[in-house]
Amino acid sequence: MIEALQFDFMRNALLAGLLVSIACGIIGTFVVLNRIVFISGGIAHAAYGGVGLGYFFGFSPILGAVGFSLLAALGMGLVQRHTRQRADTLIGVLWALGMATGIILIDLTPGYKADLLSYLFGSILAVPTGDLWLMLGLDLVIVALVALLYKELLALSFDETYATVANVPVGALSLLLIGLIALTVVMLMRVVGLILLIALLTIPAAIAGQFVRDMRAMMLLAGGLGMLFTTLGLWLSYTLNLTSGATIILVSAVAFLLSLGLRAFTSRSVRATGEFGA
Amino acid sequence: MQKHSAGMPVVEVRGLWAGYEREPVLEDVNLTVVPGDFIGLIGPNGGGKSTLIKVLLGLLPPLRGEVRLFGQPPAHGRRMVGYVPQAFAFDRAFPIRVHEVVRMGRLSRRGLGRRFTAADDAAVRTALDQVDAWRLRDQPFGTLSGGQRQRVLIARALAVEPQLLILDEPTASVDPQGRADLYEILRVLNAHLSILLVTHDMLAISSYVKTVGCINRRLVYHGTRELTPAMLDLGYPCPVELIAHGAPHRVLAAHPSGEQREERP
Repeated sequence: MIEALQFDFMRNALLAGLLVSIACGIIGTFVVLNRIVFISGGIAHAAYGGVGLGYFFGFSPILGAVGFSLLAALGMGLVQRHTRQRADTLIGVLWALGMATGIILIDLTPGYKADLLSYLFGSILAVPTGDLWLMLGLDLVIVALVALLYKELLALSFDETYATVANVPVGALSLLLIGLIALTVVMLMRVVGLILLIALLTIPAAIAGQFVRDMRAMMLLAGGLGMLFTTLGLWLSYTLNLTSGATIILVSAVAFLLSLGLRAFTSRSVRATGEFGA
Repeated sequence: MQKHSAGMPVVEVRGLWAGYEREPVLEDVNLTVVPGDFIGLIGPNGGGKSTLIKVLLGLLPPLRGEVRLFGQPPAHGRRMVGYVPQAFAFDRAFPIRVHEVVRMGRLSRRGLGRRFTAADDAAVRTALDQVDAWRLRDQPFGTLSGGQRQRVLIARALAVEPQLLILDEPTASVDPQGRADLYEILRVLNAHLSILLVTHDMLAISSYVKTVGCINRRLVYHGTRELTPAMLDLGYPCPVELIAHGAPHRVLAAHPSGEQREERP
């Protein structure tokens, strides 16, 4: 790994992994605690419509993805808040609609489509330095907003009804949160691709959630785990010559299964020694 | 404690119709709560108990009629209300400590982007002391027993420094001893704030509240301690034996319910 770092693309890849892990740790915590994994997956896939739009009209596919994911996030957020039944069905339809639109638009675009697969499966080895600055900027926005609105976001996630009674603007904050999810999703698309990014968004937070006692600690631990998984995955993919996005996800998923086993083991041994509930 | 004139009702509900999708769950409900009240509302599931609470808290707009909290619309008046939801509805895996839960009671006093202050921490301490749960302050909320969680939720409502407590089935997940303790806490609190409680729990109705109402689409409430024939007409099954025996609390105590309570004088 050390000798690999003499290459610019490896340094950028490593930095990209570290930068997205910060966003993943914070936003992934909200995704897991608010149980909106499905919506987040929907946003990721709907964003492909924006990629197609970019190809078709000849502007940056990433810009299209940003626009489309924000639009999808807004739509899905409103559906979830204002539809009484079957919100998940509607979200599933929006999910597929975005993706299908992208595929058709790319079909209609003449010529060779370079790096089309990179949006589906990620291209962490091809992250330009300019994108790193964008990632850093988004991290700073996320950290600043969450620090500023921490007490409201905690109340919203823990007990939305009570937050409403306390006159917290839960509607606006939910849409802000889902907008931040959309931006994080586009950032993750560069690293692991839209098909797999839901795993990197949720697995570090899901692991952290089993071992912490407050939300701040969950964000920090999830961020750290994300850095560990992306770095380890990158090193393995370099050493074994495997697709980096998929390797990162595989490392994360194995860690998740191990954490489940570890938790089952420790809670059993705690119960056996009779300390539980004392 | 009372900042309002003695004549100002805490809650004023006039001709309220409410429900979902144009199908009324509540019809023509009238209710006045005055300072010092401790009202228990009973009623069957689906009888509109939680709908009434939602309307009072401004979470559900009425179809018809008028609702006032301290003379104001619910969205404003609720700043002076401590709301205690059912404790079992929470995600036990949510990483949050007891004092963070209680501090949510201070949210309406600290606007967006403001930090909690030392005054908020003091209010949290007072509230936890009032329910005898200060020692639990650093525990994860999800690890508490049903009774402990309910106390913490009451503390959160008290951190508001409210003039009215609204409780939704406060003993649904609490064991019998814990129930008696909770009602004892509420009786002490009632010395300086009004309490409105909806419940299935006949222990509360028979021994702790000052006045009883029955709600099943319509509300029957006369500000009395006893259940009346009009409440029976609403079709709620439990009051039958109370009325038939004429002496509510004695009848309950005689049943082998596992709750060894002394009858109060």
